[in-house]
Amino acid sequence: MMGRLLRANLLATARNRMALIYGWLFPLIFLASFWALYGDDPLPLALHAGQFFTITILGSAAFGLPTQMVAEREAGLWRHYALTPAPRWRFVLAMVLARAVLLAGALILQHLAARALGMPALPHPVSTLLALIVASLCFLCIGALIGSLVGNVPAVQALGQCIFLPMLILGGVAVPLASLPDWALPLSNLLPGRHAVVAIQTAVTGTGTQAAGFELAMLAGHAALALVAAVLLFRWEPGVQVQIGRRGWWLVLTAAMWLALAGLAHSRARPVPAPPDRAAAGVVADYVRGVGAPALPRKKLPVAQNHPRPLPPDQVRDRLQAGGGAVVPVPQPVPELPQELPAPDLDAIAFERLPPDAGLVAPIAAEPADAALANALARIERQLAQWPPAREGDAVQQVRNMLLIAAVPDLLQMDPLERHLPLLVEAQLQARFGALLPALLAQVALDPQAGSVAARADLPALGLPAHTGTEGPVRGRMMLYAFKLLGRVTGRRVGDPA
Amino acid sequence: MIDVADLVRRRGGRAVVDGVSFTVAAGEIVGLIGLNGAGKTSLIDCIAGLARPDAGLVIVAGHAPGSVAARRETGVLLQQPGLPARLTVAETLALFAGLHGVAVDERLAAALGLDALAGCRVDRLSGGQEQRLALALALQSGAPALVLDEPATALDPLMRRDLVTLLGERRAGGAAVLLATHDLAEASSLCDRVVLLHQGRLVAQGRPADLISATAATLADVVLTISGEPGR
Repeated sequence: MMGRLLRANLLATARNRMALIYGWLFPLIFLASFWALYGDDPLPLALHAGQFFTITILGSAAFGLPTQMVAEREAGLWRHYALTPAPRWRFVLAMVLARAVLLAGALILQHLAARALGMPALPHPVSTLLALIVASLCFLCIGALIGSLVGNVPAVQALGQCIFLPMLILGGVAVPLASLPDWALPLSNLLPGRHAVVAIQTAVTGTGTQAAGFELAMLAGHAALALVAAVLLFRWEPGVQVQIGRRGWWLVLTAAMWLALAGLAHSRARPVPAPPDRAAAGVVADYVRGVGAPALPRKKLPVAQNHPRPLPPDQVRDRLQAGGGAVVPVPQPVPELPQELPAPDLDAIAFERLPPDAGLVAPIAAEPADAALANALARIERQLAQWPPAREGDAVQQVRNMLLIAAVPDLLQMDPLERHLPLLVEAQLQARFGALLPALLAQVALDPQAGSVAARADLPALGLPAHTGTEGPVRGRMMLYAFKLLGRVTGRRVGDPA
Repeated sequence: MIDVADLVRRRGGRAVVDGVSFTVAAGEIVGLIGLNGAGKTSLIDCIAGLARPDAGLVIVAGHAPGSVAARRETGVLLQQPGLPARLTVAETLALFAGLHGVAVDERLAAALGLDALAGCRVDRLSGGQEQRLALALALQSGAPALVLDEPATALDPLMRRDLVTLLGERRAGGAAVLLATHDLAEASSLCDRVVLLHQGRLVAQGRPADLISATAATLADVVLTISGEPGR
């Protein structure tokens, strides 16, 4: 029975030319708007994928679905359905699922268009799919509730706007949360729009949906409650007021659970995400004492004779576990090392001028990773063992490639992952190069324009977003992390100065 | 099979069905006749479970109207049956058969001339074709209780003749048929009994022949006489 209902709804939807045009064309218009606004981001469109995907879902759910429901009710079709022995929830669910299929087409088109406009490949396609499905079902169930509540098509527009616009403005869907006044932020926590944006964005430029488990659970909760309310308030007949009757207590229970959900959302609110990081990393001369001072090593000497010994790997590991991610380096094939590495003149490097570890640019975590983050880091570490750029034969280039693992997420503001990845990179580099590491890091830090950053395109193999566009920003961040890790492994600067 | 007792249905404070009682037994066709506004459609809505009576009792095949069990046992043709505009005739028949948990009745579809229209979209059908499709949807469930609101509307004479044959077969099969109609000739020839409504009240019921012989020459005269408009 359910299959026939779903098929009938799909056929009816597929034959509704206007629904297809509006359902599939408008998302492309939203996308073009985002591209016009954010096309010069470090990653075109990717940093706003949560927003434009959510707008597409919201539009279909707040207007498309309830309009269809009400139009069919006004045409008497639901009245006819009422004569059959099928329970009402099947009709509501079939309509939601059929609309979800239409919406899936719109989201696929939107994604393809975004890729054509420069958005990199999805690093977590399964997580992204899961986030889109949960968010779509959540809002479609809310759309079904609108369809159950209102009596005619103009009322759909009115109530739809009442849900669509606050979600766009206060829910962080269209207006960045960082732009909202303080009083509005608690409200945004209550709106599923924010949960949808976070869940999708975490999948597209974050560590996958595992890190957005709370948001997904919230969306699923909203979906279930909205579906129950939609079925309870469902009417077969046009022009008839909502009759609550014996269903009143169930509605009260549903409303109470919704309040509990809102309370939970309020208590577990995430901090407001920072806007995309456009800060300049500076140039090498900014971190070298004296204008025109020689930045590159003055002579070629065996590493250990010229500067303090780096921390042994076990001490690095202890330090990471005390103040950073739970990282255990995996032994890697040792690349071909130069026989003689130029030793850096550490006194010439102004470590104190580097951006603070607790800041926005090139941050490094001082606190331990939580369980979800530790899982994500462990997964990256496992994938790193198979990552070709981490097996690069040239040692300096391999260090460059590894530093990109920290540099790109920093550019993309992948908080909190961006703060923990440098620790993972540090531990990996210590395990691979030991005493040679300071000289290798200095090579990268003091000549950031050298070598290749092509490995930034291979980051999706680690579950991290790729970086496209000009190389300047990513080379700048790579330089900063090279300086910072140099400070850490030589003991010149470990953490922010007191 | 269909029992209506002291049924009252109010709309806007006015009783549109006022204390009506009658029964339709298995293997019987009962005609529901009356002028426009007599309360026929409101009464049918109550029997079909689409409207809740303000007083009185309706039992269909032993179940309360609107219950899943009653809907399973009742085939209903509404005066304005909403049909899925973007589906084809075949898809619509399959959908409603599925909702009733039965297979599409191909023989019925052919008898109503729908086999030739199988691929036509519903929103491109004529009024008479739509009515034939709606009839098929009501009859194909094989329900033992049939409630049909003006089934002959928009049908051509040939199809009306076929409809009479179909309903006769259902009666012979033991179905209880309640038939609201304005076609008094049809009611005279087809119905075992008629129930005459006027301004929401049951004003007469009995075999058509008995009502005609008692009051007038034709059933139309009966309706007009009882309605207080004999000269119309």
